[in-house]
Amino acid sequence: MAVNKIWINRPPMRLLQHLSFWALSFYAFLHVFKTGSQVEKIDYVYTTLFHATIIPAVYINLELLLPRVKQTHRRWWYIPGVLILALSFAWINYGFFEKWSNAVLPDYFFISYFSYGEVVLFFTIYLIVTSLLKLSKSWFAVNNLEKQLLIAEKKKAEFELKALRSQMNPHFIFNCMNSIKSLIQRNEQEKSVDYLTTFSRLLRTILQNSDQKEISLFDEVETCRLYTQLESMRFGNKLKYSFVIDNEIDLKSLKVPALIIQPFIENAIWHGIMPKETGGTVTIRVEKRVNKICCIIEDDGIGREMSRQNKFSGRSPVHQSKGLHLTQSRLDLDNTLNERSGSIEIIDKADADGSANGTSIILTFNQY
Amino acid sequence: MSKLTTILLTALLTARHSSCTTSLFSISTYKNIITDKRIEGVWKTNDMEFTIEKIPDTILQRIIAPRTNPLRRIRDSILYYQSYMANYEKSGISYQFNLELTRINHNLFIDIGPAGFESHLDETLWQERYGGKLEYLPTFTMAKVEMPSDSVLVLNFFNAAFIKDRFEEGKIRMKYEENKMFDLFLITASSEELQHFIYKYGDDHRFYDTKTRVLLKRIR
Repeated sequence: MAVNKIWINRPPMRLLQHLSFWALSFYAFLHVFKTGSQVEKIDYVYTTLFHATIIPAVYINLELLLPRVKQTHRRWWYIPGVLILALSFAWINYGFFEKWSNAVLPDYFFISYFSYGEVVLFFTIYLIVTSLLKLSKSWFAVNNLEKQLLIAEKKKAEFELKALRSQMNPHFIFNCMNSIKSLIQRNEQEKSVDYLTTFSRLLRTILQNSDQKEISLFDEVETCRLYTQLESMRFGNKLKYSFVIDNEIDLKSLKVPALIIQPFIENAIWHGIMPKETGGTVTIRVEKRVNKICCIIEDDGIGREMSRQNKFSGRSPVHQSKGLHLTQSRLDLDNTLNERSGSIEIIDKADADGSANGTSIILTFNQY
Repeated sequence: MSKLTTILLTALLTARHSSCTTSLFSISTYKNIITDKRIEGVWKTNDMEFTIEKIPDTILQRIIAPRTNPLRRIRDSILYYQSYMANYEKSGISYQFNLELTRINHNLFIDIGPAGFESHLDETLWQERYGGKLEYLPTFTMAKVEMPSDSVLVLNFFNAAFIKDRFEEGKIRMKYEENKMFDLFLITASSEELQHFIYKYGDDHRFYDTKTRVLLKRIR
């Protein structure tokens, strides 16, 4: 993935930063070096020549020495390198003003107004300050890259989530189509028409929700209601269902990942109730607990252990549910992206003598 | 009045002269001051007579540091021991100047600084003429010394116009003070900086003002 450079690191901006730095440095030097109360022409000349020895030293440090700090085996070279650089260019600076300027610029008169030691100290400080500036810029660049990486990871997670949603829809539709097929095969015409009508409503809802990262709990419950109704129509008296919603909860204001509850209802019906000869009831409750909203999917089916045994013995229905795994992945992603702290709790119910008596799934979301 | 008298008097009384270059600091320092016996003696220009002698031989030295005085032995007095005193009298006043010699790049240079007055005038006349001028900050007038023979001493004063022009053109970076209203110009750079300055321009003929060139002839 291409990494976008932040505007501050783009070439024109970098050039502007360097020019600004040197302009500021020039201005400061000019006023430090001026001989009288006002800046005169000779002060400009002197400051320019002074910078002519500093600038190469600074860029040799920034472009040649400082990058070697990154290389572990060459890191220890840096400090002696900077010292040698400071000593060399201070010598050039001192020599120029003290001796060579007479030959190079015979019309001008200036001397080095600092001792060699002072010039060395001055160059060293300048190299350190510019190195620190460069490092602080790099620190900001790394921070920016980390931020971009986070954004990329978030986008990746969103893509994964979308992929999971699109993976779930055909799976769900496949199950519904199977139900309709069964009704038609059994010649239950009226039921199949009702089923198709409900199914088309459900499809429309699902299509509407498929591109949404999150939907209201109200829409989610309605989708689940349509789905359960469809399954109930298919299985008749074998499947009973009920929805118990706490009236104090504003379902429309609470956002949840789309189709997060439905896979658990599907599991309860197909793996809990259907294998049970006498059938059973699935109850969907939405209730408030402290600052959390709990969606409880409860069935009085055969329980998870028996269902697992059926699966290994080959007595399980053909249906292979991927719902629970997908939902867990989606909840994990949703937690990462939205910090919603959603969680799933699975309770295996048992009656007084310890026999399995169905399963309760508790989906919990933080209420904001 | 002779050129030298004018220069020296203005140097003494006002510390500045528009045709000469004056400096707050002398060229000579403890490190580079030298002596040259050839300048000692009595010199004459026009109607003026100057007596130049080494400070330890002067009356002034005998007053401020007699032989028993430990001041004679301390290092700070080295400038006095290496310096010369010039003296001349006019209109009842004896003028004393401090002279210091330095050799830079094979040329001999001299700093001329005011040392004092000695009045034979009555007190009232003295106060009227000079009383208010004695608190001026003493400065140095600088010149290159040439001695074509043992009996001729030539003082080539620095060309103030040339130096000022260089300053105005922005070619010289040295500290200075200027008062354009009174046409006053004073170099305030350090002695070391002055030495560098003279090293660079010492052989440049433009650096000396021929109009203020002074020729002294030895009498004794």
